[in-house]
Amino acid sequence: MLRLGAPPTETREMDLDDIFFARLKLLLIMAKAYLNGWPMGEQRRQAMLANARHVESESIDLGRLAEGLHPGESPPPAPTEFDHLFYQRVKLLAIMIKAVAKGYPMGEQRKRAMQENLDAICQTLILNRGEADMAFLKVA
Amino acid sequence: MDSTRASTRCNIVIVDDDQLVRDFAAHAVIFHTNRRIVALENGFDGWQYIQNRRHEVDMVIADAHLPDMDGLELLTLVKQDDPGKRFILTSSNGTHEQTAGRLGADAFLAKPYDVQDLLRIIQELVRTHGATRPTQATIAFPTPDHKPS
Repeated sequence: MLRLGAPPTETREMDLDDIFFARLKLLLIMAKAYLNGWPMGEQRRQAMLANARHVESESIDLGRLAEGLHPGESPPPAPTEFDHLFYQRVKLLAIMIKAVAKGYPMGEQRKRAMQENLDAICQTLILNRGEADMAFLKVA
Repeated sequence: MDSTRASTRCNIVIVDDDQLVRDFAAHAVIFHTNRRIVALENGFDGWQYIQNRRHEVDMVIADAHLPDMDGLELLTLVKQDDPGKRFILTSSNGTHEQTAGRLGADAFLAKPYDVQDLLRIIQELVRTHGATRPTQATIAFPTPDHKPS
């Protein structure tokens, strides 16, 4: 029997953060698949659209929101927290994927912009989450 | 992703009462296989669907904790009905792994799981078991296709 997922001592229900990062990784896979020229059928396009909508709506920099509510009182961000720009890049990627899914024309400039945004997001994730998470970047 | 080859297509049912997890898994599997899948929220509905479409369902991904009929009972019924049907049990309780193996599950996915874990397990089961159903025609709406450069 195959076995994957959390180690036996770390099993628990999936929370909102787990879902967000899992969907973010799926978004990265979708973007890489599109840029690498994988065939995009109708089912894939619908899945891309649905996933991008979720990520776009959930990509909120809660730290920045809290800072806005209590100016001057927020503690400095921890090393593993993502900055505001990261969440904006994620939102932008979601918008780009939605455009692909809806069949909007994607010229070379747009593809290049998507690739650069994708690289920036992956770079941030590597720097913030350590080498243990690099494996997810190895997309089939 | 090689799910577009005719020899590796399969029809998948996902059963999880957590809507966030169910929707995420559904979108990931749809994107990976490029086929429609069925997502249900309780074990009894899952069993009814599988029974009514016995020859259409190839793989079941079900959580252990389900209302009406839990995933372990669903696993038991599915394997009794058709041992060749692939069954992936997901659970937030690591102790279910041993039970799943004893009941004949093909894979155990411990929560919280990563999208790569989910796709890897599906790809591995499809690769090693192959397709058991004839391929079905899918309706393709005219969309611009992007060719590899």
